[in-house]
Amino acid sequence: MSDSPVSSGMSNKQERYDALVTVYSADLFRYAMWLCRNRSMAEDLVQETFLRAWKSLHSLRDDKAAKTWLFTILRRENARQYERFTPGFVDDYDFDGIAAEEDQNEQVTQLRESMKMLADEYREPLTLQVIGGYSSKEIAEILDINPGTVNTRVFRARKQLMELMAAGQSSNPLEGVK
Amino acid sequence: MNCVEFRRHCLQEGAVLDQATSEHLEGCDSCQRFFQQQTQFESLLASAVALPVPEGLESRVKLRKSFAPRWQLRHFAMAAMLLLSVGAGLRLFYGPAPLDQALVAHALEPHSYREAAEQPMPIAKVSQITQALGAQITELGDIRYAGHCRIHGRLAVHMLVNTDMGRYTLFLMPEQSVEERISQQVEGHRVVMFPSGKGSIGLVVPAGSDWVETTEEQVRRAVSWTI
Repeated sequence: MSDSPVSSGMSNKQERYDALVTVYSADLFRYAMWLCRNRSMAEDLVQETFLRAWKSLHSLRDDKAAKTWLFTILRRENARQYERFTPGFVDDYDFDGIAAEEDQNEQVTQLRESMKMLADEYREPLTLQVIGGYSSKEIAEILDINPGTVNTRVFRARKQLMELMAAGQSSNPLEGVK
Repeated sequence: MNCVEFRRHCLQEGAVLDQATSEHLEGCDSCQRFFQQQTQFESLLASAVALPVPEGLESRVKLRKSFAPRWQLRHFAMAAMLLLSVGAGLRLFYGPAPLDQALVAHALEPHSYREAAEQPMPIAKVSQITQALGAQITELGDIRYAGHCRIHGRLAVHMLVNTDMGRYTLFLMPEQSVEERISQQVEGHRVVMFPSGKGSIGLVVPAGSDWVETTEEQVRRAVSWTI
């Protein structure tokens, strides 16, 4: 990870906190979205993450660690809901709506659909790598697994995604034909 | 480095090259084609993962934090007035906002998704949302929004319900327990919470509404739990 954009010249807590929110709230939201599969809950998760971060900002001694610290808080906050109770969610990704909002191309939508099909244990390290730009070692710390396992999982995640994409494209033989 | 190692590296690191992989790529036509495809895939993957962020998220996060100290100061003052024990006082000061205040804050929070729809929500969709958390609803009337939310880090169902008298916010909270019925005035709103199933139910209505008891009765009749 590169140097933190948060630290330089920020002496007071409020300033430091605001900088963290400005820099990381979008990436945290995206990660939350892939974790909890629901836009409304993803926003709550981000809110709770930053509330927790505000309360324990004094414990963040190295600003270069801020991003990993926030991602770890968010992941733990998400896990808390499964400590005593497992909700019967049906996956709630609303990618059709997103595609319409973004005017996104079909391949991106298809890839999102393919990512939904990945097992959580493959999707999570991949999203951390792509959204957070984390190394295997950093992902291993966040997920509390070893770096070798991270490498195996992101390898399999990409391989499965490419296979799903290829299968999706070949399932419509007229696609792309002029 | 051979071709298998090169390709494994690309699938693990997302087509990010180091010195060894760069050297292999320079001398291998087959891997150059693979790398080109891989680069296109990575670009697509980056777009797919980067889901759009709700407008105003950053401001809402900053705004929410600004409420926290106000609650804490109030709790500290209450603790002093009531001469609570030092332990209880500390818990109030450092702990999260009480459930009633959390519900009002949640009900009032500007949110890009939790807005009342112009048409009633189909009951099948409402049922899908409530049943995910073990709640069943019958005869609640004109529901304009239903979705999942988090109250104090625990999952809940958040609903907006229209009545002839006005609109209220309803929270079904399978994991938040209250010992007995509580009715409080908070921030210009009346909050009623009561035990239900293994958790509780919360209602938030505008202060001064004379229909809260009627609504509460209707909610008690309409909600049952499967957990």
